[in-house]
Amino acid sequence: MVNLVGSVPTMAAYDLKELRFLLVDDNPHMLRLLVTMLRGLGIAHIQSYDDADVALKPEMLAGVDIIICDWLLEPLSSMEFVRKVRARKPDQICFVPVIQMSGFTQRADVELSRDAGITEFLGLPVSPKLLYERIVYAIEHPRPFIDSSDYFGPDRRRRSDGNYIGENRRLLVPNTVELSGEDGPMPDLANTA
Amino acid sequence: MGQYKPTVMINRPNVLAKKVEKLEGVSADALIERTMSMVKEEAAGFVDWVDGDLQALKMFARKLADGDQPQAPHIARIFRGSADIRDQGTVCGYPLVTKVASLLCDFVDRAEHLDEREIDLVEAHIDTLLTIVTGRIKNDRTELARKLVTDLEKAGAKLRGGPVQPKSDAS
Repeated sequence: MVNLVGSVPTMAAYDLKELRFLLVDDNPHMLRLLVTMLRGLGIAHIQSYDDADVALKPEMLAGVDIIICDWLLEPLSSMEFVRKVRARKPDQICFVPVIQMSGFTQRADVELSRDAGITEFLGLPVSPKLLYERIVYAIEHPRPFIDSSDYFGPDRRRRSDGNYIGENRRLLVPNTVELSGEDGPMPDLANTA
Repeated sequence: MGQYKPTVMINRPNVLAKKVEKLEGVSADALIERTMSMVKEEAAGFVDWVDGDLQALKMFARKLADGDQPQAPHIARIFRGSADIRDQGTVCGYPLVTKVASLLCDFVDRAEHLDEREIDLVEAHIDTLLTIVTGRIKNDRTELARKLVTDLEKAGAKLRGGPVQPKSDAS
């Protein structure tokens, strides 16, 4: 798999204490390990759930900045979980970065996650370094969202080939909307065409 | 047929970047190092909790061996349990646990039915994991550990009819 993140060079760490994390993993041991990692990285606001259905309640998702979820969830699958988060339009939570962890790292597995609308994929076993790198990547490289008839989520195309000389179809997406507000519901895009 | 909807690209302000700043005098390496120490403390209980999880897997394997039907729910529990153990082993300093649990997870993945020999092999994986945990064998640097893994890989490949696919080193 291509490492899209690279390694974090020696530099000042981010102060992440203002960010609110929502963590979903149905294994209590893994959940505890992940909470320990996030606390170690300086994250103060952590909501952890072993039940994906509970995590999806509006009051649980309110104000969350980043979601981290495992691939194997119950009672919902993680794909259903991510799709339900993305389906929260027009609530701003639909844009939340989702980092999905999985020990299943075959290309088909990663593509399944990507198509469900995840933001970053984190192959297991996880380490504090890998987790920190993914969080930093989500902060430093926010991706535009695509809203189409069969997908809502981060733009799935992230590779840029400098040698490509053909038509830049990425710039031919019919409509681009710049959202300036950070709060409040997403505007109605139905009549943007 | 679904209604046509034009594709829209949405650019939002970087909300997260506005909530974070760089920590003066603390490097990312130092933060990660500190976190690793905290995880190590948490992982001190790994042997105890994974032993409990393995006993649960053993119970499901025993039900399969006893002919309890349907098999699918038991196989599913073994799959999920072995995946969880696989994901925790290396984090907790036991890459050999990750390696053997990964073999078990792969072996039962997508299996709808297991015959007697396959159930024996599932039990052999679980017993091997228990031996590793009880003996606190962290990696495959010893000849015995390497042999345990190789034997399981060969047995799995033989039953599944494929060539042995060596896994990455558990070191």
